[in-house]
Amino acid sequence: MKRLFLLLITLPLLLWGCGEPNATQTIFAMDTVMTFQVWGTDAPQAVQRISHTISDLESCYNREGLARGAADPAVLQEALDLSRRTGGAFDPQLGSVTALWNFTAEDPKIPTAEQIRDALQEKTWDLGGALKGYAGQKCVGLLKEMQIDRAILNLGGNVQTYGQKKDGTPWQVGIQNPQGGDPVGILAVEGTASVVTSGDYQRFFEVDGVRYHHIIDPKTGYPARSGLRSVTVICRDGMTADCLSTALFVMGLEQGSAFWRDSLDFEAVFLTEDGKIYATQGASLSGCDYEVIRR
Amino acid sequence: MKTKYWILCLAGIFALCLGLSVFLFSGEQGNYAEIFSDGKQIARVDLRQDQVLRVETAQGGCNEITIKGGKIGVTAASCPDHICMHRGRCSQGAQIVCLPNRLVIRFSPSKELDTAAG
Repeated sequence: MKRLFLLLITLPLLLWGCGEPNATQTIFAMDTVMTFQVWGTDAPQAVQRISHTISDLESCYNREGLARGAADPAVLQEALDLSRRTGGAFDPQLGSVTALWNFTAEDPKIPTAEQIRDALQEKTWDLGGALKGYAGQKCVGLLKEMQIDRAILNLGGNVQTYGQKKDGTPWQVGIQNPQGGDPVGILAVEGTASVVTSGDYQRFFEVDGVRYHHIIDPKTGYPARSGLRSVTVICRDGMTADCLSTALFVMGLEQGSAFWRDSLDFEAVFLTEDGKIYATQGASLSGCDYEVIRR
Repeated sequence: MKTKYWILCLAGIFALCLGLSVFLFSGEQGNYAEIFSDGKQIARVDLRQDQVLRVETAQGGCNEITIKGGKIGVTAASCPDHICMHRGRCSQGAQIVCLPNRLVIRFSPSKELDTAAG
């Protein structure tokens, strides 16, 4: 009787206690919107610290911060290494070109060919294609240090997962449809990983029916025209995921697939202009028809 | 008799707690969206109820939000880029954002999706 009594009392309490404390916060930073969802005892403190980390990084790595030398040289070196790895398809020193295009302005304009030619000669830092990924990575260190159970950080479309979901299943991360509407497919992502998409729909303006988007081909100084609408990269390292999604978009499907075959540290999903989806064989994609890219 | 009474009583409490646990921790799955303006939540809408909302900012910006057929989207906006409108109408996935007007539409968690990249 006593045992039965204890069982009846403790079982509901256990069930009641399984909902751990969690915290959610949305901030405007790095010219985008970021949402942090954190599960764990110190979740409220964790979202505050993540928020501070993001604003610190923003002030060190924006144009002014980079100009005054506030950036960590190791991070800049990592960006240069990734640039070399991608044969220059990702270039962290396109600052003069991106400043010309100025996609965040209220009324952006197409620069002249001469302006672009001159800007391509200059080497000015712009870590826009790496910073959110690096920020995700940095936050993972913070979450580990704070012994947080699990988290999902959406840094303006760059997704950083942390830890295992409570039910042990993989995180379900949608891939945004470039044409609008619900996600085109869902990626199953295990544990701590970074999922980053580079797409022509994220930041752009149109002139005479032509779309000028923010992913610049470092060879031409113009928006990359590689036949792709978006590339999503899944990688354990946030900064690598961020830089590679840009690089693969610039490379296009064929060259991007070849680059993946030579690498072992990421998976990718390509959405083409003609509406087709291609996924590398290690990407767990569901909810859509797609062609598998094999090694 | 007394023992039976206690067992019944405890079984009742157990059932109540179990029910409450399921209710509290399963949460509402999908079908809802929260609308934030300049970081403040201004509405929580049921996507099963068709309606049109207008959200105005202190700076004079404006977004028209339409809910129809279980989907939500920005159908008119004062922003220059109209990137919010290009998102079309969605029932889940990445939050819909109008950066110039600092408007965010966030979907309630669904069983199928934790978040979306893009």
